[in-house]
Amino acid sequence: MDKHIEQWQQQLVKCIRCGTCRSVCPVFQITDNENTTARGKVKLIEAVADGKLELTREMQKRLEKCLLCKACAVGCPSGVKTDELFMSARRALAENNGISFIKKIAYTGLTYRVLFNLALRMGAAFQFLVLRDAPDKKGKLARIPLPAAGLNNRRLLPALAKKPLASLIPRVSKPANPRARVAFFPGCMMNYVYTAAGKAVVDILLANNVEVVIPDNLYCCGIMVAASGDYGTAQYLAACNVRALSAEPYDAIITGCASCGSTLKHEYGLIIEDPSVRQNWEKISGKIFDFTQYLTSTGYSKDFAEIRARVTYHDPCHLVRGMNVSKEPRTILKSIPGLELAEMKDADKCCGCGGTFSLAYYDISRSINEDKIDNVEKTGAEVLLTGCSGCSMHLSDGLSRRGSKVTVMHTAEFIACAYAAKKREGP
Amino acid sequence: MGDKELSGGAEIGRNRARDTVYPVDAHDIQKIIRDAVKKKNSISVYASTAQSDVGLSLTKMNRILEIDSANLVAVVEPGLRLGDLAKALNTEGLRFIPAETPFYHEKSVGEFFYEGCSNISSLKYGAAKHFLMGTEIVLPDGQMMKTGGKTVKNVTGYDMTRFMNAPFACFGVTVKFILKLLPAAEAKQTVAAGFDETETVRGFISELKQAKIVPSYLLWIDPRTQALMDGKGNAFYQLVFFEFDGIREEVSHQQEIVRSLLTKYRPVSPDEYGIDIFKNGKWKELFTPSRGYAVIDELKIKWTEAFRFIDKFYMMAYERGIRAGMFGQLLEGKLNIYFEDLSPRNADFIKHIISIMPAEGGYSAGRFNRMLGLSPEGPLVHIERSLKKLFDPDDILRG
Amino acid sequence: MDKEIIAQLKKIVGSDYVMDKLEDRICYSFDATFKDSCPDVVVKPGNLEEIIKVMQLANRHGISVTPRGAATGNSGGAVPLRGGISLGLTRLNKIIKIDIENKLAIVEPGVITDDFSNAVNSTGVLFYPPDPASSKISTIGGNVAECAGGPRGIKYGVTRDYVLGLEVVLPDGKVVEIGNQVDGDMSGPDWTMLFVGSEGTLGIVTKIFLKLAEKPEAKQTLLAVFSSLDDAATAVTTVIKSGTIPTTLEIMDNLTIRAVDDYLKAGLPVEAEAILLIEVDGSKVEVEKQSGQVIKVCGQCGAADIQIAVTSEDIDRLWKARRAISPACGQINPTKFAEDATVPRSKVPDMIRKAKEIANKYHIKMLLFGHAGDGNLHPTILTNKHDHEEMRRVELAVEDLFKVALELGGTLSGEHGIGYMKAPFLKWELGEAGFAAGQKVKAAFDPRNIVNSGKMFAA
Repeated sequence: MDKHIEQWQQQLVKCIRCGTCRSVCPVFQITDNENTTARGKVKLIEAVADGKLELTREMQKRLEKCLLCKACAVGCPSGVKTDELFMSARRALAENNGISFIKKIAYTGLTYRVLFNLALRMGAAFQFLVLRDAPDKKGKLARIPLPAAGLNNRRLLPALAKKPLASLIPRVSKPANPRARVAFFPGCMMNYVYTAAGKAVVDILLANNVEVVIPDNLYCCGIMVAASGDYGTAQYLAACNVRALSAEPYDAIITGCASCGSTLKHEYGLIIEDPSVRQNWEKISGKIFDFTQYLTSTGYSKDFAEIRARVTYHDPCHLVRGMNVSKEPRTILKSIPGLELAEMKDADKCCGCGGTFSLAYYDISRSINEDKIDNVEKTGAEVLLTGCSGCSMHLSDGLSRRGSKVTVMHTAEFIACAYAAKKREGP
Repeated sequence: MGDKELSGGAEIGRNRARDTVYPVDAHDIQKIIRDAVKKKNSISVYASTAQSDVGLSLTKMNRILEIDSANLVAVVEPGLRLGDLAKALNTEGLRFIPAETPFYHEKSVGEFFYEGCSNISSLKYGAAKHFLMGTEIVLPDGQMMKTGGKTVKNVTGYDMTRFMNAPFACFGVTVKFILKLLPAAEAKQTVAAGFDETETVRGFISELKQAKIVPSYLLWIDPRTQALMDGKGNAFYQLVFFEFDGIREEVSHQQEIVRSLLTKYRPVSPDEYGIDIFKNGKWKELFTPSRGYAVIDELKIKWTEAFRFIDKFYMMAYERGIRAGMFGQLLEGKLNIYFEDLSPRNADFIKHIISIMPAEGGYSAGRFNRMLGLSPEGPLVHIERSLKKLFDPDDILRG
Repeated sequence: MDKEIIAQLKKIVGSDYVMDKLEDRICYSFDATFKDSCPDVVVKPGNLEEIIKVMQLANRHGISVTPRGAATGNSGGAVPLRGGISLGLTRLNKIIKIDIENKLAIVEPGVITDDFSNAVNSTGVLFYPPDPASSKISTIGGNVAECAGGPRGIKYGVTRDYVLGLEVVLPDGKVVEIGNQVDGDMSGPDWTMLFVGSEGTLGIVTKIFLKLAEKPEAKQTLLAVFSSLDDAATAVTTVIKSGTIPTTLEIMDNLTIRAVDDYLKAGLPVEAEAILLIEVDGSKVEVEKQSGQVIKVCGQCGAADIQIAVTSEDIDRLWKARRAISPACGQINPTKFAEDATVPRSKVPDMIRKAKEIANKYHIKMLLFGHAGDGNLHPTILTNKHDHEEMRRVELAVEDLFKVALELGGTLSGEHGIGYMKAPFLKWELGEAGFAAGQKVKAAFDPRNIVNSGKMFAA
């Protein structure tokens, strides 16, 4: 505990309570309650450090009421690393109070990789028992509302893919003249839900003469686990992933999902404590890139078909603030001939998903999303592109509720389409 | 209660005290007040309706203590006449905006703030009270107190500068005023135009607004007021005086626009219909008539409601057989009434107008009632009484 | 707090808007100053009627009430020093009316300043001049309570110049409208002016009637670079004396320039001893003339370089640099004391000189920047609140700054207010009689001392 407090003090001392966080926090803008601002949470942590407050369940609830969107960390004039501070506080709270039983089961399940894979395959087969098709066919709805699991019966959910990504692509995809050899970390959502997006990333890399390897023994990146404070499990998952990604040498390690990418590249730095794991992680973290980042920095083929459409792009928090990636997807999109990229207002504002946040606080999550959808619709775009599975899911839910004609696609899917269409056209 | 034939502002300067004294500085005043406390005498400075034992006339305290051009402030004594102040400042290339127009040139600085006189040029420059930056005051116990200072910004404590120098405030005697100055305008252009109807006036002013001309002042005087001031009863036009000021190029640019508007509306100029009041300068007494009676700084109504109210006023005056005219800073919602005297019938009419203001969507400032010594109503009365008791437990200062 | 009282409060505003758990009260125990104090309960009324009932309850039981907007104040106004009720007013957040013809706006206290300002701007013809640095976060109610200023103060004045009237709930729960919606002038005590800057000690403001200004046709921003801080300070007074009143006239010393440049990498002139950021506005003709005047005067006062911002990107770049001072400070030292002791404009050179002497005397790091045009400098001390020894020196330095400002004919606070931070020094400036006068005003309004007690004259 003292170790925690010492770490916290480094950040706590910087907070001048200026309140700038109030103007950037999406949750605060809905709740208008100081117990959801960054400075409010900082104050709670300070109170614990000063011995004026215990690590209570009430405090835990307030720390959970946060998207971890990093808007406050980036907007803070004093440079308080609020995202790191809050993760650390959640850890201390979890150590003190434990986490919910369901979560504990689920997270432990993640550590049984083979079992987890099997469960999801079976889940894909039997999901019809719990989920039914949404009227607009864009996703699934819960047959019975389960508010505890954040399943309000109007909430749109993506379906588990009939076939997981592993069935769609080989372990190694090698182009004729590879210019580089990379590992691809798809992450849970791309493996079991948004498999098309996962395949699209591989296709894009192949189109750019990059050899893609899906390493063996990859586990869930563990961000949800760490965000809940279960560092024990998160550290296990991190260690496994670091081992898997270090097994062979790669020119780069590519991610397609913002959350996974940010976690592997940065959050692991907060989570990993074992010195040897850390050493191995430090060797690979510099090589971890979002696929758009990798392409723009190493060069990419502009052999795209002409696509006459208006699209708009939503910056996932974990890309724009987590990995500092926001110019890159736009650069690639702008090089697709005929494509009109219409910028929405507040493109980099959180979509409201926040992983487990949308389960526990669906109403707030929905309200935040409403603003985002408003901004999307104002662009008149036909397609909404984004680079995160969580965002995709939540945005689809929001658009479907409005009966919107706008389609959500992963940036990779769209780019892969442009390449493929060009290829079909022939030389 | 109150004189039957009270006339406008001229009476304010003469108070009805048993003895009048003429202090020369703050020390004098402190002595006089301490004396009064001991003897349980009452003092009045500016108020004419107050019965008091000692009358304080500040006419001898009329110096300009400092003109600080770097900080754009002047430090003056209460007895200084605004006309003298304006002259002195103009020679330095400076001006105290509320003193620029001749209407209040005869008033002393102290009288001006005590009576809550309107800044004629508030349309462009803001209310007179915001030109007061600080004061020094002798309290009813004889102690000296400073408020504000030379700084443009000051949020130290309550705004005692405006509180202690509010209209009809008698919490102390102000012996020093720190006034905010502005550089003199490079160029000025005054226009006087006579229009046939209020509708035309409204049209003209609206077009002025649309052309983004912000005059430093805009004063409207109706024919009835002109007739009452003239005494001969001849007047046919709605008179509008306005002035714009600024740098030379800007003034000539505005002049062009105004000229074209005047061509469009074809008003008459006062010279052309030669009303005596303009020829012999009596119009300077508009706000402080020596023979008539003006209800000023009382009625407030928004510009968009003004003309409707003016029509209603004429109708009410007609129905009651009252002879009265209206004049004022139309664009700022300040409407004043001109009577030939304050007869009981006129006084009743004034009270009636005051009472209907809220229903008309306007306000009455409470000035008329205070001048008559009548108390206001509402939850703040009790607080006002508490304040008076706290500052002046022996009720020495009567206004 | 008595369970019965909490129950009654819940009945008045609804249980969703009453918070008495420690974890919530901690979140309402502070503002942007350093002292914290937990309220006994946080109450967030949604309308006038609820506020009246809460005040009646508080008055009946002698419960302390601290009104709260966004709690971004720098003097401690929103800190509930005596516990009691923290009365959050942010639910009253409607812009009730913007009347273009009459140049009037009516707003509720919880409206965020920038939101209001933007709404007025969108009329195309009017604007709301007061522009405190916190405008993105702070509320109009907070601005009124502290009489907020901002860089435009030199030409356009401060919040009190724009408040025509208010609707207030007195400490005993009675409602009253003061001032008016036309010209703000009423006879008798100037209640409106008393409330503006009263820091929430006289009652609760529930509606604000604001005067709006004509939007100038054009404006221009200039940057004057000086190799001597003294020359820059002299240029400030000389510009005014020459008859030109710029809209803003901001100064930044070398330490400040370097701090901002390190943070923004904006290409600021880091070798300069001082820079002046000047804006002039008016008609196109006026702007040209004023701009020329400013350039002439700065040149005469020894400016090494004068840049005119031509494109809107240039203008934004310069103002971004000015606004980046606060974040830049945060990168240097964690604890920041931004003072705002204000002096008459002609004393700005002296104030700057003395401030630097004080920094040297106490071996502390001080940045100097601020609204030089109206004498409202912000000597900003950067330190670490855990270094108790240095904090002692900082306290002494701050006291010296107050003394110097008063000696130069200035005032303790130009913008931030007194709160609890400067309450101990009130008598230095006001004297016994002035201090007693403030106490009298407070006593007349709030004899039971329940509204924001522990601040200003009731500290």
